[in-house]
Amino acid sequence: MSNQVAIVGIGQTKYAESRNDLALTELIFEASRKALEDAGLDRKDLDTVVLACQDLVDGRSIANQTAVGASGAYLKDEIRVCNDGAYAVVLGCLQILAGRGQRTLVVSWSKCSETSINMLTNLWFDPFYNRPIALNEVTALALQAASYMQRYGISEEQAAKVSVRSLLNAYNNPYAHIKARITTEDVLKSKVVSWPLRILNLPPESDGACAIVLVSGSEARKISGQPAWIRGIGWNVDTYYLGDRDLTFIKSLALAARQAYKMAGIDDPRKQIDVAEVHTKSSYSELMIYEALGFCGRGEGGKFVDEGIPEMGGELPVNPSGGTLSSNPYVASGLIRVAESALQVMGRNEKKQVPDARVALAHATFGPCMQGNCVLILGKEPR
Amino acid sequence: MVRKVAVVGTGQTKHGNRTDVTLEEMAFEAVREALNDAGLTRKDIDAVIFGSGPDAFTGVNCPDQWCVGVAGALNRPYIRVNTGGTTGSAAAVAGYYHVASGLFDTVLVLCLERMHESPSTQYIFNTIFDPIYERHFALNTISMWAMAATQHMRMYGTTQEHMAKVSVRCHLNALNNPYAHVKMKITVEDVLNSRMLCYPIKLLDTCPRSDGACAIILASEEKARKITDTPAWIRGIGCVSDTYFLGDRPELCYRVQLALAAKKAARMARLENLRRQIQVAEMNNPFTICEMIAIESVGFCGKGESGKFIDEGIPEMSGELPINPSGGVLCTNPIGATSLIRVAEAALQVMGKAGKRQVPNVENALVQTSGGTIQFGMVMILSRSPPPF
Repeated sequence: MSNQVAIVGIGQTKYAESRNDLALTELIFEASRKALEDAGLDRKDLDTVVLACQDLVDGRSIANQTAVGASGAYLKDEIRVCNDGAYAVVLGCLQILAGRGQRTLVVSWSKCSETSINMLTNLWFDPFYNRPIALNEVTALALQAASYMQRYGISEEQAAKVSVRSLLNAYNNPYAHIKARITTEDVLKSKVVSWPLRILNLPPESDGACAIVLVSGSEARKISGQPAWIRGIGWNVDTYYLGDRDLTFIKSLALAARQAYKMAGIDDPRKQIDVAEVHTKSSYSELMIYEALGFCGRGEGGKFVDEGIPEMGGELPVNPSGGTLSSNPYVASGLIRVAESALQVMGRNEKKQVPDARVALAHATFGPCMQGNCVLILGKEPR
Repeated sequence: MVRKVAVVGTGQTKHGNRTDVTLEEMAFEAVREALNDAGLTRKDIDAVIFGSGPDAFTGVNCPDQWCVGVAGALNRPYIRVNTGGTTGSAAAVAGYYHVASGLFDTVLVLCLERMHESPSTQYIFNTIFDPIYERHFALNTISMWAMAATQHMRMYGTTQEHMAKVSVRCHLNALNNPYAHVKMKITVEDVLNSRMLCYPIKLLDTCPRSDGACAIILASEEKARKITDTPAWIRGIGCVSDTYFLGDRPELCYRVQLALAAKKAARMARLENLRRQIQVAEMNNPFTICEMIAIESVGFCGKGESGKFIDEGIPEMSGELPINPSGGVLCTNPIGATSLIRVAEAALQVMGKAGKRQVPNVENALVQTSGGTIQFGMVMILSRSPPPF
């Protein structure tokens, strides 16, 4: 069991447009405490803490400083990654596998209500070539969606179906920010933000925090009757300049998935994975995610949705929680995918539970047009 | 099975005002030198860890994304660490996890900062403080360390001359370091007569604003032995975070978190007496007082005794325990890279490749780094012999 890692505790806050009822530290504390209580552990039991946050999103330089107390990291080994929260899970896994400790708390958060994500993501781009042409996360995703549509004949209706399903699934999620019964027509009639992306194709900006407890294999057996075993991890990155990439295929995601699948012993993802929680940057991106994950062939993301495969009763349900189209506390969004996948294989997902989920996939992405990607495979049994 | 990990290559840029190159070009200089040093190519690298400090310094949100190509990270696992001043050592530790976990054999750690892109470092440093309670007091890293210094002076009779001696030694040592930003022969009087910034910290007690990058290559035992005859083994690691608010600490002039980190690193390295068993140390000293407090906190001398330690010449190049042969942070401070430079310099000492700044017969070298509101303390021990665990 020394070369195994498992999730034994999960804490989420309610996600909302604004959580100005709580200070940032209180929000972080709520998620951290819930995760520890869920695992039946105390702060004293923790060996390390791994945090994920972004300075500019938090409006604080060295933004992990403020979270040391709230996350229980006081006088402990604490490290912080500057990618999505799911990368903190990856680093936590590496720590445990490297013999650094037995019990790790991973925490991530964002209060989007206190910032402008579009302004900050314009600062992603290099100041010489790309920044002056008003690129930001949404306009870049729009370029990507348009090239994807053109290449494979993807329709606006197909993308709209992703939004309809996600916001409907969100009704089963007590933490969700946006839940709505909408039709594809509603999506197609919604305001264009950056063509072809309409407001209902895009995630909201939410406030919230998420925390999970990671432990070594031997600890997992002691702590939890049904831990979520981490069976595979993979992460990868693509080129920075959008013009240097084939935007219609997310290569770094395919490579991250390949690494995770290899570790988990997965060779037919569509059959072997029972449920997936993916980091949807736009409803078009989600179609591309299916392709890069190998759930369907290239250009078949639209057909995959038309066939109802990712629906709750479908062959491979995607985002039973509602996903990021429903709740999007920016940096924490990928960590929430890990938490939701863990709940699925633990069999604790209540109304949003996929029956008999034995293997779940969690995906997180980061950077312009999904430059960086991270994939985790969780299982009811260890690898 | 936890694996042993060693530093097998290092690369640094010339540090200073690097408006001659872009962020990418600067990063590439360090990466290429580290690869050449280890005799490897980009293809030999399995994963890359990137580190840089607050994004506001560079004016780019997530500069890691921009550096994918030059870091050799394209289509590889790539992760970024940012813990302020400790970023470099935290990235090295993250690299250690990558290899020790058994998932990767050879990884590259790249850290950088471009301080000249921002008009004022200290204005940005004000934003590390809490926006409601602390930011309005004009706190920044100078005023923060000035408070620690005055407390040290009051409690232990430490003088401005003691601090000045740190500056004289480091600036002199830097003359032996081809990468250093500021190097000069100065006297204690020069330091005492330099412009007061925030009592008792004067201009010559203070680090410069540097642009620079540093890269190191870490490898598993099997790979390390193939790559070099003189790997620098990572033998001990201690990382501890303290309270956020300065006022919640019992003392500002003694670092509980750093003392704990040193104990953890020593325990992991199975060293009983750091003062006797360490032959050289690279320590965080953006201000002269930082080095004095760190010397006491890691246990090289007792509480309040760092003045005496310095008066006795122990940290001099010819002394019993040379500290900062490179000139330290005081002479070169690209913030996100500064702690990785400490790791690289310590590795060079252990490998016997430190050139004019080499301390003879180094078996164990200690790296000490600091970050945030004197909040993060890290200690790493590098050794010529493989770790005993």
